Amino acid sequence: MTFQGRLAGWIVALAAAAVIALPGAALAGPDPVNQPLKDGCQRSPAGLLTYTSPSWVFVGGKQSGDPLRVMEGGATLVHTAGEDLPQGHFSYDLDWDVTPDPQYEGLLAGTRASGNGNFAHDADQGKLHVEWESGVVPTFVWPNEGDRIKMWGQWIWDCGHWGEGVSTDPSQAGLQHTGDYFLPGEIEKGGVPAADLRGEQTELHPIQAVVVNRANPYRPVTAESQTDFFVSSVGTQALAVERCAKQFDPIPVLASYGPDYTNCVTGSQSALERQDINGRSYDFFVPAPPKPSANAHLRYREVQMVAGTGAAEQVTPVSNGLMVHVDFKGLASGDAAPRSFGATYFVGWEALDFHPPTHLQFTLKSIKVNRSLDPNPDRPQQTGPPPGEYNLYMNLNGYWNFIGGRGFTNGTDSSWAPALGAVSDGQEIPVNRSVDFFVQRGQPVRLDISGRECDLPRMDPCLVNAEVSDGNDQPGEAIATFPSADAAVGDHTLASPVKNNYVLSYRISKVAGIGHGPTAACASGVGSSSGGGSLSGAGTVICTAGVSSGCADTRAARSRIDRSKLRASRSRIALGGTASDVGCAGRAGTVKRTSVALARVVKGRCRFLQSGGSFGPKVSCSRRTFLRARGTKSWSFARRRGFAAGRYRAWVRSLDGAGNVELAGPDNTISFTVR
Amino acid sequence: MFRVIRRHRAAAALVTAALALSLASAVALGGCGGSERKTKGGEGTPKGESEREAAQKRAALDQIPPQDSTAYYQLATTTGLLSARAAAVSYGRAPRGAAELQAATRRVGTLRPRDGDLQRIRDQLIQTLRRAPAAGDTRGARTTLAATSSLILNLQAFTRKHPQYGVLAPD
Repeated sequence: MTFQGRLAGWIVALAAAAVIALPGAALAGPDPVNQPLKDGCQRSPAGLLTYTSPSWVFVGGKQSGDPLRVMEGGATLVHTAGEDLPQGHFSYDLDWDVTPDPQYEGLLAGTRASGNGNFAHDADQGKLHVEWESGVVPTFVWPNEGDRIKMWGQWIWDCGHWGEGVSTDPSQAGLQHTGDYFLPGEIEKGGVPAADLRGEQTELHPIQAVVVNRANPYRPVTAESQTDFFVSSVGTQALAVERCAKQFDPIPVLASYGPDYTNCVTGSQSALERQDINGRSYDFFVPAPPKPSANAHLRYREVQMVAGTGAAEQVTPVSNGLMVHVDFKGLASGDAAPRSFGATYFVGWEALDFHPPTHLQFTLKSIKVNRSLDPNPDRPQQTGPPPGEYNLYMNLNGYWNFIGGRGFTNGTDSSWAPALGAVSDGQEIPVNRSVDFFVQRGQPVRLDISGRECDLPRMDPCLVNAEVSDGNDQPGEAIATFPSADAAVGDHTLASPVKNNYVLSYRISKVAGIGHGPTAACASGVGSSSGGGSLSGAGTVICTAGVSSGCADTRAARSRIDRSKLRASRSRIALGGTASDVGCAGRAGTVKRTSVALARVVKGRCRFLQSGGSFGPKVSCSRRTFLRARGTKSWSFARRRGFAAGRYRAWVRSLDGAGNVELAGPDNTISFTVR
Repeated sequence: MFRVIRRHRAAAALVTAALALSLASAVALGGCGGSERKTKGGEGTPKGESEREAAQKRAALDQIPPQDSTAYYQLATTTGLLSARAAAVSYGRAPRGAAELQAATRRVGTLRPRDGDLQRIRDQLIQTLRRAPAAGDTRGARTTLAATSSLILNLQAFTRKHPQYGVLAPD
C-alpha cells in the first residue's frame, strides 16, 4: 500500500473512531407516533378532563423499570405556566426547556429528519420540556435563560399534546393526521400513521433534583460563580398519575381508564406521590470563574437554602471548582417521610478582586393594567365578571419574584402588589418596592415579566375563582434587555406586547458599595415554596441571600487541631482545638459550624467515618465526609467504637457566618496511629 | 384470582351499562349541528410549548361558538369531579372535594350551549349530579359510575365530531 493509501486508511479509521466516540451521536429516541399509545397515552381530550386518561405516562409504560433519568444542557424558555389542568395540580407549574448535551439526545422522542416528537419544527425543536409545580420548588433554584442545567426527573410522555395546529378546512383531506386531536384508537386502526404526525413529546416531569450553574450570577458581591442545587422527594400528583397509569389497564371498549385508575389518581396517597430518593445519590460539578493568576487559590462559600433532612453532602474542591456529592443513602429503605436538600455554592479565588460586580437596585414604581381581561372582549364565552385576577412574576437576571396578586385574600396577600388579584381596566397600582442585585462584569441585565389572568379554579397562586370559563387569559410576556449594567440604569417603562395589557414603570439605579447585599429571593406566590414554607412537608425554605451587609467576607474561618487533646486508642478517638474567624473589613467574624472528617488510611486511600458510626468504602482522601463537632470556637470531637489498629488522619474545617468554607491546610490536618 | 374476576366483572358491567346509557342518550349526537364555521387554523410558527398551546387555542377557539367552548370544558371537568367522587365511594374511601363539586354543579346550571349535543350532555349531567352518591352509598356510586362513563363516551363522541375542542385540555 502506498503512503497516501495508508494515510487515507488512517484518516478513515480516525474519522470512524471519532464518530463512534461522539457521545450520543447515534442515539435514537423513542418513536413518538406509536409508542405513546402502547405506553398508556390515549389522545383523548375528554379523558384528560375527566380523570379517565392520564396526562403523563412513563416512557416504556408497564415495562418502564426505573423511570428516573439524568440530563444536562442549557436552559431556555423559562416561565411559569399560563394555565394547567386543575385536576392534576395544586399550584401552577414552573416550566423550562433544556437543550440537551449530545449524549442525552436519546431522551428526546423522534428524529430530526422526520421533524416529529421533540424535533417538531418550533422553538421546542431538539429540546426537552420540563415541568415542576411551583409550590414545591423554592425560587432560589428557578433557572434563567442560558443557565447550565443538570437535572434528574421522571422520563415521561406528555399525553396532552400529540400534533400541531388545527385544520378543519374541508378542501383538505379532512381532519385526520393534520391536527392535535386524534381520537382513541385512530392511529392503530388506520394502520400506518400519517407521515406528518408530530406525536407526543418526552419530558422530565416531575423533576427530582436540579443543579443550576448560573450563566449570569445575581447574588455574588464579588467575582464568584453561583450554583444552586435542590432535591426533593415530593413528586406531586403528576407522579401519582404516572404510577396509576402504570398500575392499571384501560377498558378497551371505552378507550378510557376505569374507576380503579380514577380512584388511584384522585385518592392519591402520599406514597404514590413520593419520589424514590432513598439510596440515591446526586453528583455534580460547580465551576469556578476563570482563574485570575497562576498562584490564586480556590475558595468557596456554601449557603444552606432549605432546612431539610436525610441528605449527606460531600464537597471536594478541585483545581477549577467543586465536586459535590449529595446522597440519601443513610435513609432506611422503608423511610417514607418527605425529604429535601437545598444549597447555593459560590466559588471564587483568593486574589485581589479586580473586577467587582456592579451593584444595581431595581425599583418597581407602578403597574398600570389597561385591560383586566375580565371581561375579555376577545373571549366572550367566559362569564368574566370584573375584577380581573392577575398573577404577575418577574425574573430579573434569575432573581424570581411573585409581584402579585393572589385574589381575594382578606389582607393575607404579602406580595408586592396584592391589588393585581382584583384589578379593573385602567387601574394604576403603586408598588414602590425594590430589590438589590449584582451584575458581574460584562454581563447583561434582563427583565422578564410574565403571568396569567386567572379564570380556572383552585390552583395556587389563584386562590378562589368561581368563573365559568374554559381557560385562563394571557396578559403577555414583556421582556427588556440591556447589554450591560451601565446601560440598564435609568427610568423605564415596559409594556405587554399583547395589546398593551399592562405597563410597568420602573427604575434601575447604581448603588455604591455592597450595602446590604443582594435581596433574598423568597416569594414564589405559593406559601409552601416561599420563605418559611414547608415544601409540602419536605423541608423549610430559608429566606437568605447569604451575604453579610456592608462588605464582602471572602475569608474562611481558621481551625486548629490541638495535638495535646488527641486521644487515640482501639476503643476511642478524641480530638479538640480552636477556630476563629475574621469578617470583612476586619470586623469580628462568626464561626457557624465546625466539622471533622476522620479516616482510616489504607494503602494511600481513605475510609471515612460515617454518621452511622461505621467506616465507608475506600475513596480518595480528598473526598472527605465531615461530621459535626461539638462547639465552634472551642471544639471537640470524640467517637467510641472498636477502632482497628492502623494509620488514621483527621481534618477539621469551619464554616463562617458568610458561608465561607475552610480548605485543608497544615494547621487543620493531623495524622496519627492507633496501636 | 377472585379479586381479578370480580374486577373484570365490575368493568364488564360498567361497560355494558355505559354503552346502554350512551346508546340511549348519545345517538342523537350524530344528527346534531354543532359548530358550522370551518376555517383553517394555525398562526405562523409558534414558539415554545406554552406559546404553541396558546396559538392552537386561539386558532381553535375561532372555530367554536363562544358559549360552547366554555360549556364543553365545564361539562367535562364536572363529569370528572363527579366520577372521582363515585369512584372513591365505590372503593369505600371518603370522597373529597364536596365544595368543588357543589361549585361546579352551580356552574353547570348556568351553561347555555348553542350546540344540541352539548345541551343533551348538560341535561344528562344535571340529572346525574342530582343523584351524586353520598359517602358509603356504594350501590349509588356504581350507578353514578355507569352514568359518568356514558357521559365520557358522549364527550368523546362530541370531540370526535369537533376535534378543535381538544385544545381545552391543558396539562
